Amino acid sequence: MSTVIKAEKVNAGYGRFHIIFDVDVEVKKGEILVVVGPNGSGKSTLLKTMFGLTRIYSGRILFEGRDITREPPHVRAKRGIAYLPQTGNIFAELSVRENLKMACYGLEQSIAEERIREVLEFFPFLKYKLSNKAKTLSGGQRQLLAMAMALVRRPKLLMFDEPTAGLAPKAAKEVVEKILWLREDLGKTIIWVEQNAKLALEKGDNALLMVSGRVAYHGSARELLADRELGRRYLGVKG
Amino acid sequence: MPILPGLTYTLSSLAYAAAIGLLSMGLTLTYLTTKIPNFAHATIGMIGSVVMLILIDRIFYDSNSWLIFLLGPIAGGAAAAAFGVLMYRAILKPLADRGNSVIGLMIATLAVDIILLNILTLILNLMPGEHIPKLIGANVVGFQPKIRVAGIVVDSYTIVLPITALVLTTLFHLFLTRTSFGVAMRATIENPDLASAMGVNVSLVYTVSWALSGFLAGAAGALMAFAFKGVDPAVSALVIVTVFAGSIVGGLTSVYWGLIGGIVVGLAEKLGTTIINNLYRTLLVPGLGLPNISLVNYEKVMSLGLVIMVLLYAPQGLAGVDWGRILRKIKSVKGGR
Ligand SMILES: Nc1ncnc2c1ncn2[C@@H]1O[C@H](COP(=O)(O)OP(=O)(O)O)[C@@H](O)[C@H]1O
Ligand SMILES: [Mg+2]
Repeated sequence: MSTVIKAEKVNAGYGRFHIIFDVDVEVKKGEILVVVGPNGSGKSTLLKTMFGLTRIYSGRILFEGRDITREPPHVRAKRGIAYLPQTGNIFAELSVRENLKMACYGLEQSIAEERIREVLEFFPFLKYKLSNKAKTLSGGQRQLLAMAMALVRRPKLLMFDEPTAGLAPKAAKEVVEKILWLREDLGKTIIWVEQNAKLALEKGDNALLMVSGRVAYHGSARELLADRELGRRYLGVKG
Repeated sequence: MPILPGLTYTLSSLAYAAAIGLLSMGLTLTYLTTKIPNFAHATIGMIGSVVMLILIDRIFYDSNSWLIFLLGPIAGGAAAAAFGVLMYRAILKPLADRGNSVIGLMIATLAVDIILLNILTLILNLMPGEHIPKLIGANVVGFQPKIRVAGIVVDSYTIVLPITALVLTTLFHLFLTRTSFGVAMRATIENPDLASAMGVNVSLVYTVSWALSGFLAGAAGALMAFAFKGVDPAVSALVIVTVFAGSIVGGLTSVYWGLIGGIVVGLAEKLGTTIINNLYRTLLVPGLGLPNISLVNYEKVMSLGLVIMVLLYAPQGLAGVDWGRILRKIKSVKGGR
């Protein structure tokens, strides 16, 4: 399987705040990589770094073999990387239709309309909400709108930052099912940061454990789940 | 002494309010996009006045053509827009990229303000007028086409300015809602990181916001050239206070409320002060024997008083007021009668 994204000895942070250290990670096509770790360990910062929203001090990031380390976010988006931040992953003040239009930003009008029609088939509830402001949607609906917005660009890689955080169990389950569906039916590659480690490790292929800005484990998700020592220490998984 | 001001004064007050509205709207725009309070904004507007003055001197000296009301705002707006872009790209963006705080950026706009003020003054001092002998401080009130309203000859700019404000606001609104770049601008204001995730070139959006803000200021400034007793860039030092007052009263969260805030403050300064003055002199001076002085020069007390009231009682500005609730209340009171 070909490598979709790869980080090599990446050091990054915000201005002078150095947050992640010497991170190596590799994600293959069609894989779900689950990123876990304690609060503040740098999971979100890692995703932002992959997307070009942090300052990279050293190291390289390769997307499909191309060096994108110095590329700004909008260029990475064009290359096929979608980033769904933890909060603020939709435009609350815009209507659902405007959100979807924004997601098609830069696409030709006719293609944009076709893509929007296509994702509305995947997320039918949105059809009835097109004129509503996005802030009127429920938490779960917002996550699904965010996913729909990512999909109109037909990204190769989707990076989710805690997509189930703060959702009721039923809504969370629906979001997780959609993530799995993205991989199964659409063949997408996924990086999934998740607080609920057990749930995500059961569904994912590989796992990355971040501790204090460093990679503490990078390998099979099931093996990490079975590792009582790491599980107890960092993930709250009962051994 | 009548309490309400006459037609001419009312019209010039409306024109002033419309100009402040345009300036406050632009100030709010660049604040929303780049988070920079631009203290050079009124002087950027003066670029429009200077361009208008030069156009009158070189082209429209004895034509009395209505075309001046089209060409002036466009040329003045374009020049001010170009300066806005230059100021943002050459000075403010590099400073912001280096991690300067809002305070640092604000001081930078003050520095630009002083530099621009001196450049404009220098231009008017050094440039030989073709028809107007001395450009600095020149009075151009006589160079506008004459128009009659209700049988009275009025300054035509006072009619043109509110119409221009309406047209520019409508165009700006259509841009923000009907074009994908406009929707991208609103999206960027709400969440720049996410907008960039959608492929929006955020830095371009910011630059365009400075261009638009500059254009609105320059267009307003061009028409306001007819309001001054003499075109002197130094006027901006007084105007900027009112423009900030308008933006703050609006709430600094929406360009439309910025416009409304500017209009409210502009009207309060002109009509409000005059009405209060007339009331004072017709009622309080004879009634209570208070000193017979004129209050019309205390305009800034009105605008800054409004700012304090708003900050105390509606910290989010007019934009944060629950107008729906107030409307319902008014309706229920009416219905109850
Ligand atoms: N914008 C920022 N500026 C400075 N430090 C930040 C910023 N965002 C996050 N941090 C710091 O980076 C560290 C890692 O945060 P984060 O990546 O959000 O962790 P996680 O997602 O694993 O909870 C934390 O110590 C946090 O305080
Ligand atoms: Mg996080």
